[in-house]
Amino acid sequence: MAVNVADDRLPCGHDIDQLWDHLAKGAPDEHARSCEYCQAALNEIRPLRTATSELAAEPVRPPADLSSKVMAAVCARIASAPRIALPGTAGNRLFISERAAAFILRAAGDTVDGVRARSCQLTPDPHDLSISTDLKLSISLRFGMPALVAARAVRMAVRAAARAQLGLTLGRIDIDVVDVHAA
Amino acid sequence: MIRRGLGHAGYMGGKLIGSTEVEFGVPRPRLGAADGESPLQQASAPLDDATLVVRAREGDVTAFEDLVRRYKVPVYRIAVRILNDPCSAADTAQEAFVTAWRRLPEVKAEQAFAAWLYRIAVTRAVSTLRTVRPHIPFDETVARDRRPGPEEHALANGLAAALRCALNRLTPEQRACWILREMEGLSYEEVATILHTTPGAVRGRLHRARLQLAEELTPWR
Repeated sequence: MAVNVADDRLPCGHDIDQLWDHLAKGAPDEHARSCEYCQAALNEIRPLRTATSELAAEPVRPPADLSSKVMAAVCARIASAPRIALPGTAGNRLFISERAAAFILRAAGDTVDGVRARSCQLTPDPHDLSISTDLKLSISLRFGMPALVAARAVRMAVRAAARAQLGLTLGRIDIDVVDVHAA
Repeated sequence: MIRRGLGHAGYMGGKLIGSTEVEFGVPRPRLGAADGESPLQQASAPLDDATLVVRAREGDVTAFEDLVRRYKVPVYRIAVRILNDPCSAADTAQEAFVTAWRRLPEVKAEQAFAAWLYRIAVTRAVSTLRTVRPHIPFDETVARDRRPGPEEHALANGLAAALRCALNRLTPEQRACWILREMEGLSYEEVATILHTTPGAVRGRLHRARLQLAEELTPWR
């Protein structure tokens, strides 16, 4: 080949990397169009550029069952998750996994406009569940959303969901705004 | 670099997922989706990677399923292009996702999830390639003997097919570099992060790959 491995530069001082990038965009610059070295180099790399674009444009379809296979393997790996006991079930015991409880409370947080719930951690009082359970919730706020307003709405939403769906009374609710997302 | 590129919603509209993303109906994150919508609609709008990663890490299987749906096309596509075999690519993609689930606690910067995931998939694909078909060090004379002539290229039905054959003769690392940079359109920095190397080393590998590939496509000049 006319191109030296050790040095990308053509005798005219142009860089073959630049030529390659120009080809990608479809148009060599003015110099390259009239320079014999650049023209020779372009002729060498043009078929590769065309072939690369052709291959890259070929649609690739993953197997239809990829997601379900992954999720089956994932679900099989979920170890016996930590559970919390729910109150008010006189005599009969009712437990919920922390994962499931967190799912419900995050969904409640998400109902507030401009809020995406992230980390959700319940810390139930080990001695008396009927009193209250503390919650730590991290959220991402939509840009421009006042944190105070959002936090108040989130507290109301998760408190209501905890009571209605889990029978839990939430005590302290700490909210941590960890991120802001675009409007 | 990675924080601005891979894993950010702005990037999802770019080449990473590109047309195939739309074609196969995989939801892409729309950061503006929540604006002016009712709370219920907002809850069903696609969430950003960081939110999904934090949720998945705390055991939210649904959040992880969203990530799988979002990235299965590019992960499979990268695997099948490196391995050139749909069966082992499907296995590789599946294993990459399951490994990702297991190792979610290790993700430090949630924004960089895509790069982290691709790294798992590419590493696995490259090592599969080495196990299945150990790479023979590139030897000019041997390679010249094995290299198909123009007639064979013609039989292989065209330029793209010839490139596919030529890609098979690169080292696994060179091939991964080529695919990530030239076919997935990632930046040198992103490719370097995924391959655990430096942008300079990526440039070097790409340069050598280009020389070899261009030479193999000589009949098409």
